[in-house]
Amino acid sequence: MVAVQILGVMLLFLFIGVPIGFALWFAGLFAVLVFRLSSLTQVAQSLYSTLDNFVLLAIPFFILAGNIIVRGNVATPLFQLIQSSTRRLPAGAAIGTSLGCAAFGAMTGSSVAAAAALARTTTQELKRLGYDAGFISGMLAAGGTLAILIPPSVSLVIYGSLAKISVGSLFIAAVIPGILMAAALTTTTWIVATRRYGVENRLEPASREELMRQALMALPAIGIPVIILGGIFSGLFSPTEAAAVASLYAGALVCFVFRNVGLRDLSEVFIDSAKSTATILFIVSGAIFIGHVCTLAGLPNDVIALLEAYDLSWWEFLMLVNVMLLVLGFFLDGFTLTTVVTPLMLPSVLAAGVDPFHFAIVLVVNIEIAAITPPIGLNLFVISSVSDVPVGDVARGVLPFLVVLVVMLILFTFVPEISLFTLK
Amino acid sequence: MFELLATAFRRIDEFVTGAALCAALYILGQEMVARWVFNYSFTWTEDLSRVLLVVLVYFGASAVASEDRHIRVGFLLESMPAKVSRYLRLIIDLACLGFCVIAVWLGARLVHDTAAIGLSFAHSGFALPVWVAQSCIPISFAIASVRIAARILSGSRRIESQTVASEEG
Repeated sequence: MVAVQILGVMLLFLFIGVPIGFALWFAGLFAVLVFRLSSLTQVAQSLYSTLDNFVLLAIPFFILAGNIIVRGNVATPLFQLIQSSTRRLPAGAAIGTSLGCAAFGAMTGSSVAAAAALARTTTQELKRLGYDAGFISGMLAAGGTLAILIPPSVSLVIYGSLAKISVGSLFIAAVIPGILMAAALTTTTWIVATRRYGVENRLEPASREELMRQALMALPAIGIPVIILGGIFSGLFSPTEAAAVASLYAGALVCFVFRNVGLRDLSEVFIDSAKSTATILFIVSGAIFIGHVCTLAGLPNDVIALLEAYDLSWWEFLMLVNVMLLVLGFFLDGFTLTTVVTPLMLPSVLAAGVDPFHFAIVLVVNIEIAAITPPIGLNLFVISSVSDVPVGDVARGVLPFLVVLVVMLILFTFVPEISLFTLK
Repeated sequence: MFELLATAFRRIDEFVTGAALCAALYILGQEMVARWVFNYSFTWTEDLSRVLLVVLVYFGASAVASEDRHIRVGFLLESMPAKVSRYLRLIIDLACLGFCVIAVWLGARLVHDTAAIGLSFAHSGFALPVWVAQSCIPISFAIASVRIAARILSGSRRIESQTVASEEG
């Protein structure tokens, strides 16, 4: 009951618009002062100890690498190569864009960066080919969410550090679900585009020479996911080191190969990345503390008692959690969902017999859905502002993709082997 | 005067948070080169990079708080009448300022207690007392307090002038 009151105070602060990091710390302080669940000394120690974690250092480096990639247009040649390769297919330009979202996701780990960068580079060209703005922006908003699931994913790094499980193994677990999700969204793009614009909607195929030239140009960009994923999967780097190497590599590319980012730009990128990191990790620190306080208040035991009272199986419990996450996702953004839900729910999830790696994938797909559902869906607003399309049109365009995301969520929920297969 | 101080603090926040990220990247890069090329590992790298992460987060959070760019659930604030929303924002800002002041006090207590025990990172060959690393908490929250207070003052002046204008109009 105490835990419910603490959560109630937290939700009240969140919904009246208190910045999320502050809202979590306020609720934690409330629990300490009113219920005496911990001491003020513990609060002071938590301000430091919640962030004193080497794994969390991967987050600023992944954000930095993503920002350098976007600032230096590093991904553009790879994107052009994918587009050229799919030209001969019906609705090839749209399919190429959808696959480009997956490739971008494998480089940046940031859904907003992926969506914004692709919207800037593709919207005009797709409009010229006759696709309507609602469809384009819906496809980009949904495609951008692939970055949340496909490794390297910042959400997975946060989850791993909060759940105290290997981030490298989380990345491995996300590979098959990421590929399936990319395939599902690309197939949806193909079905919707060919139905609306006809199967004859093809472009002149690119010549072999053109493809070879573009492949050569794209090689430096391909190096980024190869370094990150290859380094982690081969055991050469830890995720934090892989993120640092990716930042150094991306920095070297824009400074010495493409030569399109100067020192002043680079210093701006460092400051922006540090501020973005601070925004996320301040929330993480508050979430760890509120999770600790709620554990002291007996939240996991309350949930276990509930499970026993209603005799819920693991999948019934997980479906219940999905419904809760979908509702919360209407109002909370992805980072908040990860940081708030992980420490609060994980003990109960484990008690219900759900594998933490399986839950990670389910949680991350919920975050993908949250990124494209109004009123908070961040990708809708980013695409709307970058492409100059009303948010309502973006939301309508995203609907078919939203249905697919929900179907995939149900699939990943009921078939844990999809997430756990690569770990075996 | 207050706003001049806030501008100076903005530069400090941005410099410290950006420099901490740059330094952490350099240290980790150096560690990897040492390990692969010279088959040697520095024992203090992890401790120092964790300290830099805490510094980065708190000075960055201070910069973001004073620019009012922390993530929030804004739909309720945006759907309220403008006047109510302005006053609710003011109350929220005051509450955040209150938290920053409490964090300065809690951080100072933590620094004092840790210094009294004499904890250091010496076990990893990194002879920095832990209280020095922890002092980033009271310092960054003190800077955030000044900057948020400056923002509240300029905001309330705006509200005042808007109220006067609407009354005159």
